Amino acid sequence: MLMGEIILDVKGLKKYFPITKGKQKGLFVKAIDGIDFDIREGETLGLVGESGSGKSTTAYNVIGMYHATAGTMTFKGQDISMSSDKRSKQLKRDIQMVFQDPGTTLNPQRNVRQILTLPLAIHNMIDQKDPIGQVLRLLETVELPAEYLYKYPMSLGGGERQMLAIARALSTDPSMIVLDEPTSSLDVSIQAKIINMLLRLQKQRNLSYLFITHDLSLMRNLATKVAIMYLGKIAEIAPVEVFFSKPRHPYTQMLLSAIPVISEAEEEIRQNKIESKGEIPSPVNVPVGCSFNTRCPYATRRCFEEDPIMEETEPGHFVRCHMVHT
Amino acid sequence: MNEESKTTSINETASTPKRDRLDEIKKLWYKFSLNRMSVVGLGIVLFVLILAVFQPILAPYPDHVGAVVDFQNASKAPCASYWMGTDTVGRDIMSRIFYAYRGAFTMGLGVLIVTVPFGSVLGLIAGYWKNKWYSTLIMRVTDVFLALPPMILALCVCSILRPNMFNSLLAMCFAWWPWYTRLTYSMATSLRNEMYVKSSELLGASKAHILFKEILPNCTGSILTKATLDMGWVILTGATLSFVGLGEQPPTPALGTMVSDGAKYLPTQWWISIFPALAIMLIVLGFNLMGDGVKDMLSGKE
Amino acid sequence: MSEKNATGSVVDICDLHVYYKTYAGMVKVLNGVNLHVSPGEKVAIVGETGCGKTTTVKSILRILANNSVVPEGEIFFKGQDVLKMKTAQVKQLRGSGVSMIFQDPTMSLNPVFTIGEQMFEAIRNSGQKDANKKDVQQQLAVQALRDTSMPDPERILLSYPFQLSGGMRQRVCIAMSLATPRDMVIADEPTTNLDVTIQDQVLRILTDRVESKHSSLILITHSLGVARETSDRIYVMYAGNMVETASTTELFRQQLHPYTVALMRCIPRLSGGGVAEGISGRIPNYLDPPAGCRFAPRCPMANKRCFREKPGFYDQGDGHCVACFLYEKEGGC
Repeated sequence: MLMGEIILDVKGLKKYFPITKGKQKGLFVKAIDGIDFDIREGETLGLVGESGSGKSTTAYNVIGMYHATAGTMTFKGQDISMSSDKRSKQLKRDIQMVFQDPGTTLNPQRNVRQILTLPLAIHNMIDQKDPIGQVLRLLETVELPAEYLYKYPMSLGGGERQMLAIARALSTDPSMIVLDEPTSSLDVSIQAKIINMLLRLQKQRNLSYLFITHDLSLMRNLATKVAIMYLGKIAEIAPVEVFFSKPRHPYTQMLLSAIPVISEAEEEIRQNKIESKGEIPSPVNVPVGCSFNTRCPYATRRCFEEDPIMEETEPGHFVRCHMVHT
Repeated sequence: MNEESKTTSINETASTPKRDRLDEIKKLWYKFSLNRMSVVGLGIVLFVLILAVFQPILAPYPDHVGAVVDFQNASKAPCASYWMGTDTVGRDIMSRIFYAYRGAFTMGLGVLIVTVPFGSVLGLIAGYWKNKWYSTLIMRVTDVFLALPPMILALCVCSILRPNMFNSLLAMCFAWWPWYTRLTYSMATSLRNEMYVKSSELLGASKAHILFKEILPNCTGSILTKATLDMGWVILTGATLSFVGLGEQPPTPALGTMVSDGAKYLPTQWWISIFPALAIMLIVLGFNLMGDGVKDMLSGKE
Repeated sequence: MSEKNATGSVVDICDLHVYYKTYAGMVKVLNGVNLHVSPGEKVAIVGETGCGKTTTVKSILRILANNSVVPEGEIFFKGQDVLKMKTAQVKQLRGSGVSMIFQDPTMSLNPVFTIGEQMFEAIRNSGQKDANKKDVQQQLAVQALRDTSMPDPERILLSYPFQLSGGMRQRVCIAMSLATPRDMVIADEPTTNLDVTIQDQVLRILTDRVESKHSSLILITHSLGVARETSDRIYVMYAGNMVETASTTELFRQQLHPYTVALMRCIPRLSGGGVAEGISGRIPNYLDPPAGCRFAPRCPMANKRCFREKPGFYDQGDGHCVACFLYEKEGGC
């Protein structure tokens, strides 16, 4: 696949949330603490992490639900570090989002036709000659039957609701779609259908995806590039093949070891099986030095004093870890 | 290969707006009818409505609502020709009650048609833009109005203006709107954080769309439930106003007026007061019983 | 089917049918479920949303909703007929025979009591040695919380459920089960809301404990990967029927039922290779389920007989049973 120009460029992005009450007033929740990544046309960047990693916050920053505390985000050359109400209409058309739980992102009082027509109406994209046909074509793209036109989200299954959310995101013909764990609450067979549909659409329309998930197995089959986040920072980022064949960061290895797999071939990928221990610390009290030092089996004294910086170990493969150099 | 690969789905038939709406209505009715008392309430309300609307046909003495006197049959106790007896000038109580129900419904609907939209919209705006100065202003004004007892407020307004049906209706509107503002305010403050509202904001929807097409439809359940119960309260308050002489003036019958007229003849000519009082009780009871069913019907839409 | 009782199994479910009465009609969820758990065995029930896994285990404890009906079938717990039990016996079953970890922790945690109060009460009622002594309760509770990787267990015991995150509440429920060992633990998707690394730790603790106390475990999950790593035997469920069962190693070596085969292909592998297109069609409408095999409308191998007749549960040897005419044999499971 032809990898095009860089469409989204994020440098030094930070997002801190001030704590306004309670004992920790005055402190900040450092949800994102300085991350860099870029996405090209037609590429899928998989952002992986567990709770508290900041992956969802990253998605929300890109889509404009939050404004950045520091750092820059550029989309097709335009600055997008502000929140969506300050963004141009063109930007709102061009970057769309699919959330994790379609049950809450679709208004239960609006039917399918109304839900799909809204973005078209906002951006004056309604085909005046055949508005119904336009909506039906959208349904067709996500393989939902035409009979669903006047149904309400409650009468659809979980997978269908998500496909409706995807149709809504596609309606304005965007260049990039941010997907925040779109299949986490769905059954495996429905997830498979949606993933294949997303891949097809990507090929047809040269879409870029920022795909957020905790499921590394899913990432393996979907992403072109994978970044793994821990406590607001990217621990490792690499093209997908490299990421899974030569994972360098101990957290990556720990995560890989923890995933339940179903075949021997997959067992082999987890050569350096690291048993997971410990719990992710609070993003308010990030450990001094490397934020992973509380759980890392290889932690040395340096890890408790100095925060490692991102180093390129081979072209395109960046790791943030002191041990990489030994 | 299997030809029958077309699987059954939850709703097999193609959905059209009409069919889906019909299905919705059937489901709503099912939920409502689960509560037997609510069905009784609905029955009462419909019964009273029919009496009011078809008064000229159903009432035995339809013209007794006007300035009619029949001293020959004055103060007759309930009997075959006058089921509820007659008053001191010989008018049939029952026919007058049927007619008075019209006034009650007019009062109820009139007050609610004005206060519900006005109060709700105000509450939506205040709730969505909570913490902005205009929201605070709206809510403080609402608080002031809520602090005043509705009866006193209505009496004050009525005594300034001439006592008639329209003015007492107006007075009650003054007292009633803040409840809806309070209701939609609290709903809007929580609903504005719902993901589907945020999605629409991110898509770039206008504020008007968000308020009226995204948030309001999720409030209608509570609003309608309250409005149903309020019908009974408005009618009761209206009856109280007419009891003290405000509201509908004679010779047009009003339930409260009829009660007060007959009060001095208790307990000997009991029927002059008691039947109108029972009539008030009946309709208020009807709406109150309905209220539970409406709540069940509209909440937990699933 | 009733011969199973003789082998001393812990749970025996034979041809269980469960329906729910709704305004739209009778929802026929379970359509003849067979399940068999031996002492000390770890069994996983794998299936997708709506297939009836939770209904099956809820019927063991008789905690089905009020509008449920059991028109056919039998459930035996340690040889006793559960469906015919009196209230007092059912209470005992729930109290000391079986420990259940629900999918939704809000069902098991009372919001007005602290975690500690609830755990101590559970320990008191568990009939363990010295369970009435406060320090023993504290010790057991703290240990159980530590086992589920909870930070600062003493503080957790003093907290109320609303002060904890969803994932932590779930671990508290698991800890309660660990602190009160029973003959059987039923865990309904206990780790769905947990991080993968925590899930890994918790499942290991759960299986270790179950093994050390020689309890049996029924684990409900939608993840075949989790089932593979925790159970000895797997039951695959579809639309109210057990479609296949085998020991874990056997099932991953060879899947027989078309649904199991299709399901395996949909699972993304860490080794890459893409995923299958999903399984065409939808789960059947339980209000009007298909006669015959419920998977037939979606099955690439179905023929006319599959739509008319319901297959039995055919034993292929070594306890590997399939509910499919392709493997029809004498001798049921």
